[in-house]
Amino acid sequence: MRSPTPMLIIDWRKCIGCRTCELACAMAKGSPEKLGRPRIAIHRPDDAPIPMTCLQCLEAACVKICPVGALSRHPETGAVVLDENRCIHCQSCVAACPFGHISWAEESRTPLKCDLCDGQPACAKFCPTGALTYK
Amino acid sequence: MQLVIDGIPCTAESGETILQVARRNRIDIPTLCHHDALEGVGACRLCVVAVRAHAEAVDAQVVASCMYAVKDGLQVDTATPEVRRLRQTVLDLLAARCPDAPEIQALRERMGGDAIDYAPAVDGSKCIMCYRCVRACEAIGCNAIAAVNRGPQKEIAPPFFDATQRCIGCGTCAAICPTGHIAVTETPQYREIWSQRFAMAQCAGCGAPFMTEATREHLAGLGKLKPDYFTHCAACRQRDAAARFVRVGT
Repeated sequence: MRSPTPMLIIDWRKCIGCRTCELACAMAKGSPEKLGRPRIAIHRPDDAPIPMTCLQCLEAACVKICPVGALSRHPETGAVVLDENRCIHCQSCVAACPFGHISWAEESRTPLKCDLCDGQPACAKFCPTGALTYK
Repeated sequence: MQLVIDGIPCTAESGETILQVARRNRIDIPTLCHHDALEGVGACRLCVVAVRAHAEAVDAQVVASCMYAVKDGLQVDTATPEVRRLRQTVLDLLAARCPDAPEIQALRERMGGDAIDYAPAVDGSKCIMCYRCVRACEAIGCNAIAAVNRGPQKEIAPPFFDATQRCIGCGTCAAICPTGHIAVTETPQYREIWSQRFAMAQCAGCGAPFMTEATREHLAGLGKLKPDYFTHCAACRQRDAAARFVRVGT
Protein backbone atom coordinates (compact mmCIF):
# COMPACT_ATOMS: atom_id res chain seq x y z
CA MET A 1 0.00 0.00 0.00
CA ARG A 2 1.35 3.41 -0.95
CA SER A 3 1.43 5.83 1.95
CA PRO A 4 -1.00 8.75 1.57
CA THR A 5 1.69 11.14 2.85
CA PRO A 6 5.26 11.71 1.57
CA MET A 7 7.88 9.27 2.81
CA LEU A 8 11.54 9.49 3.70
CA ILE A 9 13.03 6.97 1.28
CA ILE A 10 16.37 5.40 2.11
CA ASP A 11 18.26 4.08 -0.93
CA TRP A 12 21.31 2.73 0.85
CA ARG A 13 23.07 1.81 -2.41
CA LYS A 14 23.57 5.53 -3.01
CA CYS A 15 24.96 6.16 0.47
CA ILE A 16 28.65 7.06 0.57
CA GLY A 17 28.81 7.18 4.38
CA CYS A 18 29.68 10.89 4.57
CA ARG A 19 27.48 11.33 7.65
CA THR A 20 26.17 14.67 6.42
CA CYS A 21 22.67 13.45 7.38
CA GLU A 22 23.76 12.93 10.99
CA LEU A 23 25.17 16.45 11.13
CA ALA A 24 22.15 18.01 9.42
CA CYS A 25 19.88 16.23 11.90
CA ALA A 26 21.99 17.30 14.87
CA MET A 27 21.78 20.90 13.66
CA ALA A 28 18.05 20.72 12.95
CA LYS A 29 17.40 19.23 16.40
CA GLY A 30 19.80 21.49 18.29
CA SER A 31 20.12 25.18 18.96
CA PRO A 32 22.60 27.70 17.50
CA GLU A 33 24.73 27.14 20.63
CA LYS A 34 24.59 23.37 20.88
CA LEU A 35 24.11 20.50 18.46
CA GLY A 36 21.20 18.18 19.20
CA ARG A 37 21.34 14.40 19.34
CA PRO A 38 20.89 13.08 15.77
CA ARG A 39 17.90 10.83 15.08
CA ILE A 40 19.68 9.22 12.15
CA ALA A 41 22.83 7.09 12.22
CA ILE A 42 25.08 5.55 9.59
CA HIS A 43 25.70 1.87 10.27
CA ARG A 44 28.29 -0.24 8.48
CA PRO A 45 27.35 -3.90 8.43
CA ASP A 46 29.79 -5.68 6.06
CA ASP A 47 31.42 -2.25 5.59
CA ALA A 48 28.57 -0.92 3.40
CA PRO A 49 27.26 2.36 4.86
CA ILE A 50 23.51 2.41 5.51
CA PRO A 51 21.56 5.29 7.03
CA MET A 52 19.16 4.14 9.73
CA THR A 53 16.29 6.23 11.02
CA CYS A 54 12.63 5.88 11.95
CA LEU A 55 10.56 4.36 9.17
CA GLN A 56 7.28 5.86 10.45
CA CYS A 57 5.68 2.36 10.38
CA LEU A 58 2.01 2.35 9.41
CA GLU A 59 1.34 -0.08 12.25
CA ALA A 60 3.92 1.21 14.66
CA ALA A 61 5.01 -0.82 17.68
CA CYS A 62 5.83 2.38 19.60
CA VAL A 63 2.29 3.71 19.10
CA LYS A 64 0.83 0.36 20.16
CA ILE A 65 2.84 0.08 23.36
CA CYS A 66 2.59 3.70 24.60
CA PRO A 67 0.27 3.53 27.65
CA VAL A 68 -0.90 7.14 27.42
CA GLY A 69 -1.28 7.80 23.68
CA ALA A 70 1.65 10.23 23.59
CA LEU A 71 2.73 8.95 20.16
CA SER A 72 0.46 9.56 17.20
CA ARG A 73 0.61 10.04 13.46
CA HIS A 74 0.85 13.59 12.18
CA PRO A 75 -1.97 13.97 9.64
CA GLU A 76 0.07 15.99 7.13
CA THR A 77 3.63 14.69 7.36
CA GLY A 78 2.71 11.09 8.16
CA ALA A 79 5.38 11.07 10.85
CA VAL A 80 4.83 9.33 14.16
CA VAL A 81 5.31 12.24 16.53
CA LEU A 82 5.69 12.50 20.28
CA ASP A 83 3.54 14.84 22.34
CA GLU A 84 6.11 15.70 25.02
CA ASN A 85 3.41 17.04 27.34
CA ARG A 86 1.71 13.64 27.33
CA CYS A 87 4.87 11.53 27.71
CA ILE A 88 5.23 9.90 31.13
CA HIS A 89 8.86 8.85 30.49
CA CYS A 90 8.24 5.10 30.83
CA GLN A 91 10.58 4.18 27.93
CA SER A 92 8.16 1.55 26.61
CA CYS A 93 8.56 2.95 23.08
CA VAL A 94 12.34 2.71 23.32
CA ALA A 95 11.94 -0.96 24.24
CA ALA A 96 9.26 -1.64 21.64
CA CYS A 97 10.74 -0.35 18.35
CA PRO A 98 11.84 -3.50 16.49
CA PHE A 99 14.47 -1.47 14.63
CA GLY A 100 15.88 0.38 17.64
CA HIS A 101 15.08 3.74 16.11
CA ILE A 102 13.97 5.41 19.35
CA SER A 103 16.73 6.38 21.73
CA TRP A 104 16.52 7.79 25.22
CA ALA A 105 17.83 11.20 26.30
CA GLU A 106 18.59 10.84 30.00
CA GLU A 107 19.15 14.58 30.51
CA SER A 108 15.67 15.57 29.28
CA ARG A 109 14.06 12.20 30.17
CA THR A 110 12.47 12.00 26.73
CA PRO A 111 12.51 9.49 23.90
CA LEU A 112 14.19 10.77 20.74
CA LYS A 113 12.78 9.87 17.38
CA CYS A 114 12.66 11.27 13.85
CA ASP A 115 9.64 13.52 13.28
CA LEU A 116 10.49 14.27 9.64
CA CYS A 117 11.27 17.86 10.72
CA ASP A 118 7.59 18.80 10.28
CA GLY A 119 7.69 17.84 6.62
CA GLN A 120 11.12 19.34 5.79
CA PRO A 121 13.59 16.59 6.77
CA ALA A 122 17.04 18.17 7.03
CA CYS A 123 18.81 14.87 6.31
CA ALA A 124 17.16 14.52 2.90
CA LYS A 125 17.76 18.18 2.11
CA PHE A 126 21.51 17.87 2.70
CA CYS A 127 22.17 14.33 1.44
CA PRO A 128 24.59 14.91 -1.46
CA THR A 129 23.90 11.67 -3.35
CA GLY A 130 20.14 11.17 -3.12
CA ALA A 131 20.42 8.21 -0.74
CA LEU A 132 17.83 10.02 1.36
CA THR A 133 14.87 11.57 -0.41
CA TYR A 134 11.52 12.80 0.85
CA LYS A 135 8.73 12.45 -1.65
CA MET B 1 -20.06 26.03 23.76
CA GLN B 2 -18.77 29.49 24.60
CA LEU B 3 -17.13 30.79 27.75
CA VAL B 4 -15.08 33.84 28.68
CA ILE B 5 -11.66 33.58 30.34
CA ASP B 6 -10.07 36.85 31.48
CA GLY B 7 -12.32 38.73 29.08
CA ILE B 8 -11.30 36.55 26.11
CA PRO B 9 -14.17 34.67 24.44
CA CYS B 10 -13.22 30.97 24.08
CA THR B 11 -14.85 28.06 22.31
CA ALA B 12 -14.84 24.72 24.12
CA GLU B 13 -16.11 21.17 23.77
CA SER B 14 -18.29 19.57 26.41
CA GLY B 15 -16.17 17.65 28.91
CA GLU B 16 -13.12 19.88 28.64
CA THR B 17 -11.69 21.50 31.75
CA ILE B 18 -11.13 25.22 32.24
CA LEU B 19 -7.37 24.57 32.30
CA GLN B 20 -7.46 22.82 28.90
CA VAL B 21 -9.40 25.67 27.30
CA ALA B 22 -7.22 28.34 28.93
CA ARG B 23 -3.96 26.69 27.79
CA ARG B 24 -5.27 26.32 24.25
CA ASN B 25 -5.97 30.05 24.24
CA ARG B 26 -2.50 30.78 25.66
CA ILE B 27 -3.83 31.94 29.00
CA ASP B 28 -1.32 31.00 31.66
CA ILE B 29 -2.47 29.21 34.81
CA PRO B 30 0.27 27.82 37.09
CA THR B 31 0.12 24.08 37.87
CA LEU B 32 2.20 21.50 39.67
CA CYS B 33 0.21 18.27 39.69
CA HIS B 34 -1.29 18.60 36.22
CA HIS B 35 -0.05 16.32 33.44
CA ASP B 36 -1.62 16.22 29.99
CA ALA B 37 -1.79 12.44 29.89
CA LEU B 38 -2.99 11.80 33.43
CA GLU B 39 -6.42 12.34 34.88
CA GLY B 40 -6.71 15.48 37.01
CA VAL B 41 -6.75 15.01 40.77
CA GLY B 42 -6.78 18.63 41.97
CA ALA B 43 -4.00 17.87 44.42
CA CYS B 44 -1.82 21.00 44.33
CA ARG B 45 -4.58 23.67 44.16
CA LEU B 46 -2.24 26.07 42.34
CA CYS B 47 -4.55 26.22 39.34
CA VAL B 48 -7.47 27.78 41.23
CA VAL B 49 -9.57 30.31 39.32
CA ALA B 50 -12.72 32.32 40.07
CA VAL B 51 -15.85 31.35 38.13
CA ARG B 52 -19.24 32.97 37.70
CA ALA B 53 -22.19 31.18 36.07
CA HIS B 54 -22.89 34.01 33.60
CA ALA B 55 -21.83 37.58 32.77
CA GLU B 56 -24.36 39.21 35.11
CA ALA B 57 -23.66 36.92 38.07
CA VAL B 58 -22.10 38.67 41.05
CA ASP B 59 -21.11 35.71 43.23
CA ALA B 60 -17.82 34.11 42.26
CA GLN B 61 -16.78 30.63 43.30
CA VAL B 62 -13.17 29.48 43.47
CA VAL B 63 -12.54 26.14 41.77
CA ALA B 64 -9.58 24.03 40.65
CA SER B 65 -9.38 24.68 36.90
CA CYS B 66 -7.81 21.27 36.18
CA MET B 67 -10.94 19.50 37.45
CA TYR B 68 -13.78 21.91 36.63
CA ALA B 69 -15.65 20.98 33.45
CA VAL B 70 -16.62 23.97 31.33
CA LYS B 71 -20.24 25.13 31.05
CA ASP B 72 -21.80 27.35 28.45
CA GLY B 73 -21.62 31.05 29.35
CA LEU B 74 -19.11 30.51 32.17
CA GLN B 75 -17.10 33.59 33.18
CA VAL B 76 -13.60 32.73 34.39
CA ASP B 77 -11.06 35.03 36.02
CA THR B 78 -7.60 33.54 36.45
CA ALA B 79 -5.98 36.33 38.47
CA THR B 80 -8.40 38.09 40.82
CA PRO B 81 -6.86 39.32 44.10
CA GLU B 82 -8.53 36.42 45.92
CA VAL B 83 -7.20 33.85 43.45
CA ARG B 84 -3.70 35.32 43.74
CA ARG B 85 -3.89 35.26 47.53
CA LEU B 86 -5.04 31.63 47.59
CA ARG B 87 -2.31 30.54 45.19
CA GLN B 88 0.26 32.39 47.25
CA THR B 89 -0.83 30.60 50.43
CA VAL B 90 -0.64 27.24 48.67
CA LEU B 91 2.82 28.03 47.38
CA ASP B 92 4.03 29.25 50.79
CA LEU B 93 2.81 26.02 52.40
CA LEU B 94 4.52 23.95 49.72
CA ALA B 95 7.71 25.97 50.24
CA ALA B 96 7.52 25.30 53.96
CA ARG B 97 7.14 21.58 53.31
CA CYS B 98 9.99 21.19 50.83
CA PRO B 99 11.92 24.40 50.14
CA ASP B 100 14.65 22.54 48.25
CA ALA B 101 12.38 21.27 45.48
CA PRO B 102 13.49 23.05 42.29
CA GLU B 103 9.91 23.29 40.99
CA ILE B 104 8.87 25.15 44.12
CA GLN B 105 11.84 27.48 43.93
CA ALA B 106 11.07 28.28 40.28
CA LEU B 107 7.43 29.02 41.10
CA ARG B 108 8.45 31.26 44.01
CA GLU B 109 10.70 33.19 41.65
CA ARG B 110 7.85 33.54 39.18
CA MET B 111 4.94 34.18 41.50
CA GLY B 112 6.67 35.70 44.51
CA GLY B 113 6.12 34.38 48.00
CA ASP B 114 6.61 35.15 51.66
CA ALA B 115 10.07 36.35 52.62
CA ILE B 116 10.74 33.35 54.86
CA ASP B 117 13.89 31.38 54.16
CA TYR B 118 12.54 27.96 55.03
CA ALA B 119 14.78 25.32 56.56
CA PRO B 120 15.03 22.11 54.55
CA ALA B 121 12.53 19.41 55.47
CA VAL B 122 13.67 17.44 58.52
CA ASP B 123 13.13 14.12 56.79
CA GLY B 124 14.77 15.42 53.57
CA SER B 125 11.48 14.95 51.73
CA LYS B 126 10.99 16.74 48.43
CA CYS B 127 7.53 15.24 47.86
CA ILE B 128 4.85 17.81 47.09
CA MET B 129 1.99 15.25 46.99
CA CYS B 130 1.21 15.90 43.34
CA TYR B 131 0.33 12.21 42.72
CA ARG B 132 2.00 12.24 39.31
CA CYS B 133 3.93 9.08 40.23
CA VAL B 134 0.80 7.35 41.50
CA ARG B 135 -1.17 8.22 38.37
CA ALA B 136 1.69 7.30 36.00
CA CYS B 137 2.03 3.93 37.75
CA GLU B 138 -1.69 3.41 37.27
CA ALA B 139 -1.43 4.37 33.57
CA ILE B 140 1.27 1.73 33.10
CA GLY B 141 -1.06 -0.77 34.71
CA CYS B 142 0.91 -1.57 37.84
CA ASN B 143 -0.78 0.39 40.66
CA ALA B 144 2.20 -0.30 42.90
CA ILE B 145 2.20 2.93 44.91
CA ALA B 146 -0.39 5.08 46.68
CA ALA B 147 -0.70 7.65 49.44
CA VAL B 148 -0.46 6.19 52.94
CA ASN B 149 -1.29 7.84 56.28
CA ARG B 150 -3.04 11.17 56.72
CA GLY B 151 -2.12 14.79 57.40
CA PRO B 152 1.55 15.69 57.83
CA GLN B 153 2.43 11.98 57.92
CA LYS B 154 0.98 11.37 54.49
CA GLU B 155 3.47 9.96 51.99
CA ILE B 156 3.62 7.96 48.78
CA ALA B 157 4.74 4.38 49.20
CA PRO B 158 4.13 0.78 48.13
CA PRO B 159 1.70 -1.20 50.34
CA PHE B 160 3.01 -1.49 53.93
CA PHE B 161 6.27 0.16 52.81
CA ASP B 162 7.28 -3.29 51.68
CA ALA B 163 8.46 -5.06 48.56
CA THR B 164 5.58 -5.70 46.20
CA GLN B 165 5.14 -7.86 43.13
CA ARG B 166 3.10 -5.10 41.54
CA CYS B 167 6.20 -2.91 41.16
CA ILE B 168 8.29 -3.72 38.10
CA GLY B 169 11.07 -1.25 38.85
CA CYS B 170 10.53 0.59 35.57
CA GLY B 171 11.46 3.92 37.16
CA THR B 172 8.65 5.90 35.54
CA CYS B 173 7.56 7.29 38.93
CA ALA B 174 11.05 8.69 39.47
CA ALA B 175 11.26 10.07 35.94
CA ILE B 176 7.90 11.85 36.14
CA CYS B 177 8.45 13.21 39.67
CA PRO B 178 8.79 16.98 39.27
CA THR B 179 11.05 17.38 42.30
CA GLY B 180 13.36 14.37 42.13
CA HIS B 181 12.03 12.96 45.38
CA ILE B 182 12.00 9.28 44.40
CA ALA B 183 15.41 7.72 44.84
CA VAL B 184 16.79 5.27 42.29
CA THR B 185 20.10 3.43 42.64
CA GLU B 186 21.40 1.68 39.62
CA THR B 187 24.28 -0.70 39.00
CA PRO B 188 24.85 -2.93 35.95
CA GLN B 189 23.33 -5.81 37.93
CA TYR B 190 20.35 -4.29 39.68
CA ARG B 191 18.14 -1.23 40.14
CA GLU B 192 16.88 -0.28 43.58
CA ILE B 193 13.72 1.78 43.98
CA TRP B 194 11.15 1.97 46.82
CA SER B 195 13.64 -0.12 48.87
CA GLN B 196 13.15 -3.01 46.49
CA ARG B 197 15.89 -4.52 44.36
CA PHE B 198 15.25 -5.49 40.72
CA ALA B 199 17.58 -7.59 38.56
CA MET B 200 18.51 -5.90 35.28
CA ALA B 201 17.90 -7.68 32.01
CA GLN B 202 21.02 -7.98 29.87
CA CYS B 203 20.89 -7.33 26.14
CA ALA B 204 21.25 -10.61 24.23
CA GLY B 205 23.56 -8.81 21.81
CA CYS B 206 25.99 -6.66 23.75
CA GLY B 207 25.25 -7.72 27.33
CA ALA B 208 24.47 -4.18 28.48
CA PRO B 209 21.72 -3.82 31.11
CA PHE B 210 18.78 -2.08 29.43
CA MET B 211 15.70 -2.56 31.63
CA THR B 212 14.67 -4.56 34.66
CA GLU B 213 13.68 -8.19 34.16
CA ALA B 214 10.29 -7.38 35.67
CA THR B 215 9.72 -4.53 33.18
CA ARG B 216 10.58 -6.86 30.32
CA GLU B 217 8.09 -9.44 31.59
CA HIS B 218 5.49 -6.72 31.98
CA LEU B 219 5.93 -5.37 28.43
CA ALA B 220 5.97 -8.86 26.90
CA GLY B 221 2.94 -9.84 28.99
CA LEU B 222 0.85 -6.97 27.62
CA GLY B 223 0.32 -9.08 24.53
CA LYS B 224 0.52 -6.05 22.26
CA LEU B 225 3.80 -7.15 20.70
CA LYS B 226 5.57 -10.47 20.40
CA PRO B 227 7.60 -11.36 23.52
CA ASP B 228 10.79 -11.70 21.44
CA TYR B 229 10.69 -7.95 20.83
CA PHE B 230 12.27 -7.36 24.18
CA THR B 231 15.54 -9.27 24.04
CA HIS B 232 17.98 -6.68 22.68
CA CYS B 233 18.83 -3.08 23.58
CA ALA B 234 17.87 -0.33 21.11
CA ALA B 235 21.44 0.11 19.81
CA CYS B 236 21.81 -3.61 19.02
CA ARG B 237 18.37 -3.74 17.38
CA GLN B 238 19.33 -0.87 15.08
CA ARG B 239 22.66 -2.51 14.20
CA ASP B 240 20.94 -5.85 13.47
CA ALA B 241 18.23 -4.14 11.43
CA ALA B 242 20.89 -2.41 9.27
CA ALA B 243 22.49 -5.79 8.52
CA ARG B 244 19.06 -7.24 7.67
CA PHE B 245 18.25 -4.39 5.29
CA VAL B 246 21.55 -4.86 3.43
CA ARG B 247 20.86 -8.59 3.06
CA VAL B 248 17.35 -7.94 1.76
CA GLY B 249 18.66 -5.37 -0.73
CA THR B 250 21.44 -7.51 -2.23
